[in-house]
Amino acid sequence: MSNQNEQFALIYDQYIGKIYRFVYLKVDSKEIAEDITSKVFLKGFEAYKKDPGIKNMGAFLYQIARNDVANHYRDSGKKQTISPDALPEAADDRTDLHQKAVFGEDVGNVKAALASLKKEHQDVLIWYYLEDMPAEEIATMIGKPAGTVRVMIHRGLSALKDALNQEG
Amino acid sequence: MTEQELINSLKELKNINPSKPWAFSLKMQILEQKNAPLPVQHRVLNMLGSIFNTGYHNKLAYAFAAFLLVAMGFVGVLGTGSLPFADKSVAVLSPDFVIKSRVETLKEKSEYLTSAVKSNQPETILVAVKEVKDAAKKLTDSIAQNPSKAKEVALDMKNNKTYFDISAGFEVKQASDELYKIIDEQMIRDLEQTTLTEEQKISFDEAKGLFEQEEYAQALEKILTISN
Repeated sequence: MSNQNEQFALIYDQYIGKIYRFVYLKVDSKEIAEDITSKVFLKGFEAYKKDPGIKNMGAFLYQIARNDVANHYRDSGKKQTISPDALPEAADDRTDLHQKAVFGEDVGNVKAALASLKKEHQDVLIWYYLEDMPAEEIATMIGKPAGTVRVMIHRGLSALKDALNQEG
Repeated sequence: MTEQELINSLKELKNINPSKPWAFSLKMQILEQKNAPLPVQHRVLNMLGSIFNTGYHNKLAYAFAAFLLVAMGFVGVLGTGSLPFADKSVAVLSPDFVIKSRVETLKEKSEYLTSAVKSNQPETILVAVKEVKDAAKKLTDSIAQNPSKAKEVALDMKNNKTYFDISAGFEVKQASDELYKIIDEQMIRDLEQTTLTEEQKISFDEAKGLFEQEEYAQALEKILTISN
């Protein structure tokens, strides 16, 4: 394996879980998440081969993932939000047993509510609470001031609460 | 739900992870192949899309692509495996890749079964037992075809105690025994060709004794103490 491949293998190991999770929470299907994640890393590797000096590979992969998720919804003509009521049908059968084993009902509801939020709120909540990314890092990634990101996190959390209350 | 409870529930979503065999397989595909492993349908559509790049030509391109795909499917149905491109997707999978991939699958299925047993969900356990059995069978078949890989798998098993570290009944025991047996057989053959110290010879005899008593897992443990 060439040195370049070895370097990308490390990047892959570091981000495969993060990118898959990010995509999965937006599309709620194991198959589609795998398909999109594959494309993200293929594109990432192609870009890395051309320019191994990409400064923030994580931000770069997330950006590809965001675009590919948007393309997925555009191509399939679907709205990005998924109604919590539609979740049992939207969920992938293959993951169902596993998901049930891993998550309790509350977490399942939160997952559904998260999928119903605005894209920008989903993004910041996932990065901040699931990936433990500081607001400053998110700010750099999306090109907004850190203060704005904190407001987005706060509003996202309120929107999530509202979505859960509506469901209940 | 309080805000803190909401945040805690959000954090639990960290447990969403890709399947290990899939992640491993994708990594190998990306790093080992020169060309991006796009499905053949995508490649045909991409190629034609770039040839017929504008306006109504796209429709023609996609119609032609659809024709090609139907034609290729027809060729597949007829079973003309002798065509040069027919087995290309299989040909790129080296035995090494197949075995590594099957080892990862077995590990994942075993972990899944362990969690199912712990959470005491009979329905899930039934599914998980079948998956472990199937994964063990596939790995056993792969080692039978490539005995030189037996030691590599054995060392992996030694280093990852997740394998069969489960009390999930007779079916899993049977599948795991078959896997251990085939690894033992190959490693015994290898050790018979090796010069051993007196101490190693004693351990080797003990290992062969365990093997004859069909204590395949214990035999493997003993063998690994010699071959390290």
